[in-house]
Amino acid sequence: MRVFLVIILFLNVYWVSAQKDTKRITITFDNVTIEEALHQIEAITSFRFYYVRAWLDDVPLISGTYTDVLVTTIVEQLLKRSILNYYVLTEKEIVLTRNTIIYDKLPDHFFNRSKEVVKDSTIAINPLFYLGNETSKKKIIIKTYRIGKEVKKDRKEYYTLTGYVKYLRTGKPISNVALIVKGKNIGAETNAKGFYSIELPVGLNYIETSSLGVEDSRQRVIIYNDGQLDLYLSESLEALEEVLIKTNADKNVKEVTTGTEEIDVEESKNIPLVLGERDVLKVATTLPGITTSGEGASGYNVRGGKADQNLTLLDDGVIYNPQHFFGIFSALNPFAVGSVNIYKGSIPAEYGGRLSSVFNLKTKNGNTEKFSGEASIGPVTGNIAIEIPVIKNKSSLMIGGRGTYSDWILKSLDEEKLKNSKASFYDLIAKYHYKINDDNNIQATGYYSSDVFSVTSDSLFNYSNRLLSLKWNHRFNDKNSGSLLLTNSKYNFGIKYEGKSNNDFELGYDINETELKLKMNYLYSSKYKFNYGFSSKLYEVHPGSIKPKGAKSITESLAIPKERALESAVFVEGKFDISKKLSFNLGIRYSLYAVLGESEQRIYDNPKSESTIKETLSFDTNEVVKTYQSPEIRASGRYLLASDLSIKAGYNNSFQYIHTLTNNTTASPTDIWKVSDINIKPQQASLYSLGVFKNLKDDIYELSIEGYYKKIKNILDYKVGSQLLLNKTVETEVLQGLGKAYGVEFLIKKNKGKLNGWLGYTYSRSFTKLDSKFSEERVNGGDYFPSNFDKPHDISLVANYKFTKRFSFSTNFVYQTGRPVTFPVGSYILQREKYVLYSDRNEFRIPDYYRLDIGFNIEGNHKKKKKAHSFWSISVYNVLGRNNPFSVFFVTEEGEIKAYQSSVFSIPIPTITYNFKF
Amino acid sequence: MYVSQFINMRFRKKYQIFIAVVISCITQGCVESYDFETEKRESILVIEARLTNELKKHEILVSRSFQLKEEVPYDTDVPFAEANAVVKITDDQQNEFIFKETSPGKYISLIEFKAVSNRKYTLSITTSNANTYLSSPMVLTAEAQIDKMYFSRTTNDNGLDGIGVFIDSYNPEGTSVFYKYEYEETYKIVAQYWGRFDIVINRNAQGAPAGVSLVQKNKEEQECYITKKSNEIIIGNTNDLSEDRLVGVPIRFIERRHHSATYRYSILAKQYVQSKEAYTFYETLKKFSSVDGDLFSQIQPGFFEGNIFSENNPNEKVVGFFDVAAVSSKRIYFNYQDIFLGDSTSFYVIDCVTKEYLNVGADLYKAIERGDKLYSFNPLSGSYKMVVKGCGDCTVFGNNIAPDFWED
Repeated sequence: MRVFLVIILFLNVYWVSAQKDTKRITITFDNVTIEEALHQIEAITSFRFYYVRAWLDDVPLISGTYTDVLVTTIVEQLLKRSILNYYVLTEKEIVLTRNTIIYDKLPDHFFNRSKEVVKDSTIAINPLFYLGNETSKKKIIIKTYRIGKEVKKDRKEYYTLTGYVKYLRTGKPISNVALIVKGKNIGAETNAKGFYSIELPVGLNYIETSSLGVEDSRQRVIIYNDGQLDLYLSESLEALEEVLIKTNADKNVKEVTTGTEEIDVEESKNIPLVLGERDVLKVATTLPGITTSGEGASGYNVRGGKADQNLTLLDDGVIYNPQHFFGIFSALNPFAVGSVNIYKGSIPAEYGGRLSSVFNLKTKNGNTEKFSGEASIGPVTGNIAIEIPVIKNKSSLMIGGRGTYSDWILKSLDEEKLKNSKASFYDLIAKYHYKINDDNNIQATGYYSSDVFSVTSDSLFNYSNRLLSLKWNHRFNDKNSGSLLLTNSKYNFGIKYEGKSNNDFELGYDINETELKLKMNYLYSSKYKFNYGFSSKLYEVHPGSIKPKGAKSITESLAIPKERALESAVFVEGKFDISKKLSFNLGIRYSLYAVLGESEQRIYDNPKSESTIKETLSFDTNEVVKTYQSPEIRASGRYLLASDLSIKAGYNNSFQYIHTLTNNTTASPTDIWKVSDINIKPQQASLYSLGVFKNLKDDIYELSIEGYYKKIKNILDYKVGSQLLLNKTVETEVLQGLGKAYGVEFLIKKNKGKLNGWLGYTYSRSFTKLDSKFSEERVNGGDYFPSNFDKPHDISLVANYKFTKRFSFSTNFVYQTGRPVTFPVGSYILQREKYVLYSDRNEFRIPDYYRLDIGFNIEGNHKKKKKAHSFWSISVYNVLGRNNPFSVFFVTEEGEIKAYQSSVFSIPIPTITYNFKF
Repeated sequence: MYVSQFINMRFRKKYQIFIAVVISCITQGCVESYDFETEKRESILVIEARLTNELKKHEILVSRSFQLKEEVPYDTDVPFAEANAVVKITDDQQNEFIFKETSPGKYISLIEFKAVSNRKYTLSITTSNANTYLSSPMVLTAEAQIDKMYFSRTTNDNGLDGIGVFIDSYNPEGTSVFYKYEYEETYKIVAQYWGRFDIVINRNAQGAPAGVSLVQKNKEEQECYITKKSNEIIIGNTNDLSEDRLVGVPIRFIERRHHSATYRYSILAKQYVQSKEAYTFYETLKKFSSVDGDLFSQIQPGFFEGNIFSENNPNEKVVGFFDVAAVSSKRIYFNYQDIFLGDSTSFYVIDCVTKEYLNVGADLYKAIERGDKLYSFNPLSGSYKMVVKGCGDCTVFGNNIAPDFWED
């Protein structure tokens, strides 16, 4: 069969010259066989592939996303791990070959020469039957170079190839270009002058080059003797992406920082969902060290930290409440999100202001070539994101929208209780990016989310996030680049109350922050890389205002005075590759925080209460009330024990100047953010971490164990029954104490194959200590007690199984120790009524949480020339119908104490969602 | 959009049901009973103490906490009483007011006295096991009068028709901010099947029943008065209001079909001006007593201290607040007919039915022996209509003597 094909091809090759591939496509492979991948390409291009099926059997499964990439480049990548080669026959035909490379032209006297070579095979060399035409002006994908004159006598096994690598456009040398000889474990790197020297085995070699900012190249070098070859490469931005894809596979092991997670946005579509919503942040909670307090609880607890200790960034702007609808949906359009990186250990020095983690979300760049989009329709929400090219290959606009239609469902119900309730939300996002030239590009992002709901007929809650982000990336030269960033974020909530009494009101809260940030990158060498810059952020908080509603209301208008603060920082961070094995990432951030007037600050005697106010200080506009400053160290190191085994350690310390005040054990949209002032000190955390990372079987399996120990100072807690909203002296309700958390995280991931997914287990503890001379400021006798989110055992399993290219099954299992609660331990009678006597704070636990979800995904058919690609997902959330208590609470009813548990989803919830791409 | 229409048509019904469940769970929380077990705990001291500016013998109750599943005995003044304690209040002028235990756990001052402004009062309790508990020194709060107390027809939160009692309070000096209200309601009930005569069994020499006699009643059993004290915590504050005025503080709601509103009703409301600390204590206590199943109003439960502490062991928990408060009170009356004009329906404490006995026999004797009351006798047919005791005798539920204050 093979021989036959080869013969046919030879016949064809003889008169057909290679076709130039100009077709660029965007495609995603999700653990497919190479054959499926080729079908996928066939489905969206006019290319047909020719091959013998048996050749494809040994090729590993393929995953990856290629955006706007040449088809040939994709094919090349696909075939990389195989012994297959390809040849672009015509505009529509690509032929795969095994071992054999099909050349564009037969050399002169081909048949004569080849005979000679075949005879002369005293050492194992590739048959040299072809002499490339170096002077050919024709642009072909792979150039073939013949080096040296073949010497019949004294043939060496290796010859030396030297030369310069230079920019095609400018002719300037390119340093740090890696030259790799494919399949032979030989490599070299260019020096500062672009010079390289490489030993090549005699005969045919494939030399690939790769470097940041330079287009990857591949050349066929047939070496007969020592010689010189200068390579001219073009600059490329796309190359950057490709390099990342290549290095991703062993990123787990090679990366220097600890506690970094990346969520594959595309992969997340296979994970079973509740109410049919794809949610990248929900996926995050299946990773070790990241938990939520339960269903219906907004916010995340990262490594024993509070929900307000996470910095959520969308295109570098802060989102204060990234969730909709009681935390059940994330407030981010899943189609608009391009990448999610979570730093829960070593936080890069450029980020600051939160203790536990950074969730760094980036939106997709719109397609610059053609109009495209994605949409989904679920039972409760509808999502759409469209990409509109503005200037071809230069700029594009991406617009996303999402909304819920739960409101009409509620209205159409007979149930009286639900008719009055209201729950609706939407979010909008727009991103414009414009590549001005190779050195400059700008992007602008706008985001808005809104939620309105009522839980009782007399009150209406609403909250919204607004974000604007402008970024200019500029490359000064090969070594220096930078970006300038301006962002503004606003979060507000309001409550409208209309009861029967004379106290109807409208209540409002908002926080607004504006940040200017400059980040510079300096590439000193391939071994030493730096980034540095500064940022400055102005906070403006309206901590609460209340207005009477209606003429009858005697509610007094009250506005807690505006709070202002400036948080600035300078940072510098370097990555030092001491040797191939040892790398360090060292960063320092110096933050300076200033509370600005106009303000009134109260000075208290201890304990803080309204009756111990000593004096009240007044400050004028922009007068500095109080400053806090501190250096923050971000250090991590990695030592490679083997190419697939590394050990990493990190130390991270950080300060947080802004805190949420919340009475509830879980975060809620009505939590208020308070900036530090004279009375409320910044929180401070130090994290020590150590991890071992191992990849197995060609990076198919990733294993890791990470341990951490965290100390927190000035963690915020509150007195029992404190009133936080609209409190003029809110500092009297706040307690600040110590926290500590530690844990070990195990993760095993399988990245490829029909069955893929991950299994994580975390053992972790989190404690708080609130001690004081004064009993009212002391909790549990001033000893450490488990924090509200102390969940020692946490197991997560996410698994996908692909039956065929169209059908896949996925499952998700979660087990967590029940979170600590304060339980009643007795009763007492006071004023003829029976009350519950409570235990020490968090002495008991609610029952353990576990949940199994399953999902079934059906891809639309892969018909050629199909306009839109569809995707159905059917999932059942909580298949076991486990009634996971969200909380347990106790009430006194008609003289009897009753215990209740509330849960959000106590029954299996089936969902069907339709997604389509066009 | 075809798809959504398809879903609408095809799955509308099913989805509505499932979404209803989900949404109701989200907004109301799927709340259900929960079984829990906690180990045995030692009981802690519970103190209920208030000193007011009324000249009277003041009362202090001392008890202990008990196990969650323990039944509360209703036949004592102070359940789980702490007896034989030494209870006294001292002021900063070395005056000492001794309290004497009149029944287990109930301590009454030996003399009548009242709190005076600008003095610091301290409560001291020494229990029989020689532990001493002291309160923080407290001063009398500023006085404020109940401006107006009134009733009007209204509906409650559950949409039931009824009568609401409200208070307006105003302190022109603006010195009082925190208020606690308590009430004592007294109402007339009329036995639904009151008969003029009692029925008694005639006995023969052997003591066996031998017919019945009707005798004139010797005590009032038709009209009685029931008095009940409030047990819910009613508090209000003028902290964020422009003046020290509360309007329409709901004190009591009486359902239209409740027996207390059927005839004449009287309510005495007391307004205590509280210190911030006392108000905070009761506010916290109230939070732990109200039913709040929705996800946003959970409060951090925990033990909260009042102002009474153990002298011997600073870590010992003590429940209770010693409150020194200025009080003002007002009483109002109303009749059912004042509110529901022309409505002559009446309701009783219990549901009553008569049972007719056509002749004197074992059945009738049995009924009389278990206390049933005679409603009527038909001399023509010789039949007796009997009712359960409470339906013919209101003293089962109330007092047959009108209280001293009662005005008809």
